[in-house]
Amino acid sequence: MSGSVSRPKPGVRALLELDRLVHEPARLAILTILAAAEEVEFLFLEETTGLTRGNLSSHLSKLEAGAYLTVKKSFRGKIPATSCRITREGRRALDGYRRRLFDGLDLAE
Amino acid sequence: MEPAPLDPTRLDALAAATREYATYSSTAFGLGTSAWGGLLIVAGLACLASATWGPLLVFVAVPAWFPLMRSARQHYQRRGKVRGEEQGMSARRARQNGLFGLLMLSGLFLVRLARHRVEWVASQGAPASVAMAVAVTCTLLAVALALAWARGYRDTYLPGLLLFFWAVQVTSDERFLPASRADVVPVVVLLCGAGLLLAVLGGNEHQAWKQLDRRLAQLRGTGA
Repeated sequence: MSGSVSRPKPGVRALLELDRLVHEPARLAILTILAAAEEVEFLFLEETTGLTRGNLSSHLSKLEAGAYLTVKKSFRGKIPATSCRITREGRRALDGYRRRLFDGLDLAE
Repeated sequence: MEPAPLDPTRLDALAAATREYATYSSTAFGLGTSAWGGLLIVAGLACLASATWGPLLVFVAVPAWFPLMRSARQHYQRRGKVRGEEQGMSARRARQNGLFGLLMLSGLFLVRLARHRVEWVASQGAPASVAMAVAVTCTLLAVALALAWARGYRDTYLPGLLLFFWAVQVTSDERFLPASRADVVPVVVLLCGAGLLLAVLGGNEHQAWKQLDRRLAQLRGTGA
């Protein structure tokens, strides 16, 4: 057994450095939608991603905990409305994720 | 059903669809634009039917459009509201400019109306009084509705331009109401032409929305 440890190739390293919080498919879809708008209602995320309410809430909580988005709860008349907004950190994380993924897969964006 | 959004092409399509969807809460009205076109045509034809009372329908059309536009917007946002990136500073400025223009035009119209009120009533009697009361009510109502519901530039420019055009039309003569049907024919042609154009434009936007709706359903994976 040789004592030397082989270093991962740059492309592989890029994949290993992928942000796990963004890497989950549902969260990636959520961040992609939020990055394309200024503010998005919970209903649109639910309708577009096809996630259940509970599932979506759970992913939003994780992204909010990671400071990738902010959640605003308000009332439209008597109906509660929840809106989400991507933060600068969230946008940076999404851009970084896409760059690393493309680097790792050796694709040109 | 869990989406499978890791395909980069699919993610770009999702982002593009979100951006397009967001325009239907600001600049694109689809059926709202068609409704505006329809109101112009109806008002134009009413002018032909009655030179005295028809022109008043143009004033009524301005505040009548706002609830229609609002309903259309709510219809297009039934998958939830999305405020687009472009609805930032520039859109806010466009809205403010539009509202300012609408307030100025309405103010000028009302001032001119107040100044000539006596002579118009003297020359045309009771119909002019009623017509002016309707015009003032509709103008004030349009301003109030615009302040409450206008989101994009089109919400203010469409009613503002018509109000301006019509205010010039009805106040440029020595009388408030047109003397005969022949006086309003060129205006009717213009109103109906603009109405037709807007109806077509709105129809195209509505078709684009239907395609977008299908695309969103496909992206979700339901295909419904």
